[in-house]
Amino acid sequence: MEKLIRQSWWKISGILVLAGALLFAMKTPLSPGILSIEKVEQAEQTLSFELIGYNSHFMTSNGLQVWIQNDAHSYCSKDLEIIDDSHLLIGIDLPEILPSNLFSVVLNDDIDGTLASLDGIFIKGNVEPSDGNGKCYEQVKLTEHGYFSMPYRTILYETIRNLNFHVPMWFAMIFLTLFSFVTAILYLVKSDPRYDDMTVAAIHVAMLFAICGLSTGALWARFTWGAFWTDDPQLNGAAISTLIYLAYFMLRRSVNDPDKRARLSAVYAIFAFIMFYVFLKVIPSMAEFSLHPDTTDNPSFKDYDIEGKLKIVFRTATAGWIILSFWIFSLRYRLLTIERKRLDHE
Amino acid sequence: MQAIKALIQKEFLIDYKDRQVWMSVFLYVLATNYVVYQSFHKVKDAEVWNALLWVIILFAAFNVISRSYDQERGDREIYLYTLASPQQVILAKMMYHSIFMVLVTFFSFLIYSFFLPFPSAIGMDTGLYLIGLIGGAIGLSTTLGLVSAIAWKTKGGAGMVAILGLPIIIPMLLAIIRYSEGVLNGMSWMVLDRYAHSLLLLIALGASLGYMLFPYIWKE
Amino acid sequence: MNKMLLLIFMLFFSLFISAQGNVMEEYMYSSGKIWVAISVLFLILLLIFMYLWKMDKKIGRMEDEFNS
Repeated sequence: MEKLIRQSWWKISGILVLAGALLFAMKTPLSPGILSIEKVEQAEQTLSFELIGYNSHFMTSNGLQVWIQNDAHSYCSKDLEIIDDSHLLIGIDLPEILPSNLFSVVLNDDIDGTLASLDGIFIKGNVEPSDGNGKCYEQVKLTEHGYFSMPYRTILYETIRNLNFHVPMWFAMIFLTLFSFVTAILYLVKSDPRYDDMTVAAIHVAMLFAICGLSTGALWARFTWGAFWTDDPQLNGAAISTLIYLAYFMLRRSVNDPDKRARLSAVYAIFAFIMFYVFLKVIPSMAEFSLHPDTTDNPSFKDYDIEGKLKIVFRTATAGWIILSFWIFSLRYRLLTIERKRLDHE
Repeated sequence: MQAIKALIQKEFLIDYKDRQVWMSVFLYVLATNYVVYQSFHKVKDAEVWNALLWVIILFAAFNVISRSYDQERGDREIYLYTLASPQQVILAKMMYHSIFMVLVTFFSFLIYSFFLPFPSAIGMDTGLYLIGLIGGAIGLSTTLGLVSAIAWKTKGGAGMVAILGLPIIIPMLLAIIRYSEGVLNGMSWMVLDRYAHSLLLLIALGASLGYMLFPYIWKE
Repeated sequence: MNKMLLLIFMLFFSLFISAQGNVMEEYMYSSGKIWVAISVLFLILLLIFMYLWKMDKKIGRMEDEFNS
């Protein structure tokens, strides 16, 4: 352990991994998407609207095609005016009787691939369900844009990048608390004060990452769900773990004898860790509802991430943050070791 | 087993001789219930009714268990070392307090439903609710058993039990509140059994961790 | 120095809280909420640097005691 802490290779590779992941996380453009459909106007048999794209390339792309679609029915654009890279004016001729009032707007060009705004437009008119008459463009092949990008999702938009900042905070925290659990057991078995220092240092740095996770989570939630704090199993778990480890430091302050302090706090750390992680395992499955993905029936990031592009950046970022957390832990541990040596001298 | 029985008897005799502990707990329960009654007068919502009951029981448990090592100070502490093994001591403490807490819980339940009538739901199984009360009482005393032992060795005293115990007890409390809420809403055992299982799991973990870790607190 | 940092942090935080329904909020929602992502990264770095700063001060105090 001491040897590993003084070596530099893992620190350098940690810096490289984290810097690379952060660079990728910030630089990678978001996939193109349809931001909104606006200024929908309908007169007699014609429909006109403005399509606002996000990260799209209407000016430079070739073969731009826009149509509205409901199941097998589709009506193509008659007039198509490109204002700039992200604005289009579209006019469409409608039949007298529509198959439905609700249509998706679909767009296809050679740079952005196929973009769709599901249930994007509401059309007034007489409705009579009927069988489809096929596509209006015969040659349209649905494609994906060609460059590396982050998935485009409404509501999240660019904040999908936070997946690489906010979520790894919890991974780093869990890694450090797991580490402290192991060192606490080792302390009870071997009674070596070095393990006590490791436990304290790991928990201290874990608290830093817990605070990072909580505050960034609050910030992200404010601009996604509209509130800083929601009643969510994940949030409850985070809050409780913070309380537990704050109590751990209270416990250490209330015992004077160093041996006894180390023993009592190790016992508490083990007990709290197990009770808490059982809770984490038990409570999310008890919860009826969670805003966080991957716990209940919520769409998870897996569904967003069709080709696993997110996963590569996310895993690299997580590895980088964990190495950083271990680095900060090792500094804290060395600090405690020097302090202990100085106390022993006196 | 014989030693555990003797230890439980010892606990009982000490408490019986000095009835101050019992008196204070029962007075506490009476007073809190009356305060709750004065502040609410009527609770129509079954969920609020249930949560209030469990909060009263939770603080009663803290009251009971933070006193559990009060006698074990000075000469008596040293006497206890010679008397039995640490595992026997912690198990005896947990069992004694479980029995004690079950009584306190039923007492609180009676007083509580005397002041604030029981919101009888359709299709509710009273037996399941009583089982929940027993499970909750045992759960609280096993989980807090080790915590109060840690607090016993610090200079913080009863305040320390609350600081260390409250965050740890939340999972247990959530499981038991969800369970009894489910019973009040007339849910079937098919829905309730996962709450019951997680409660059992937490009780088993609390007891076995106490059994394994208490020797380390014990030795001076 | 620590208190100064804390004060600055509190100021930032109260800015975010008071940002409801005014220019600041609109700004956060603009350009695909990119500012939310940037401020999340910024907040993490700020907290980690604050932690390192505190540890730095602690080591400094220890050095002072060691030398005297």
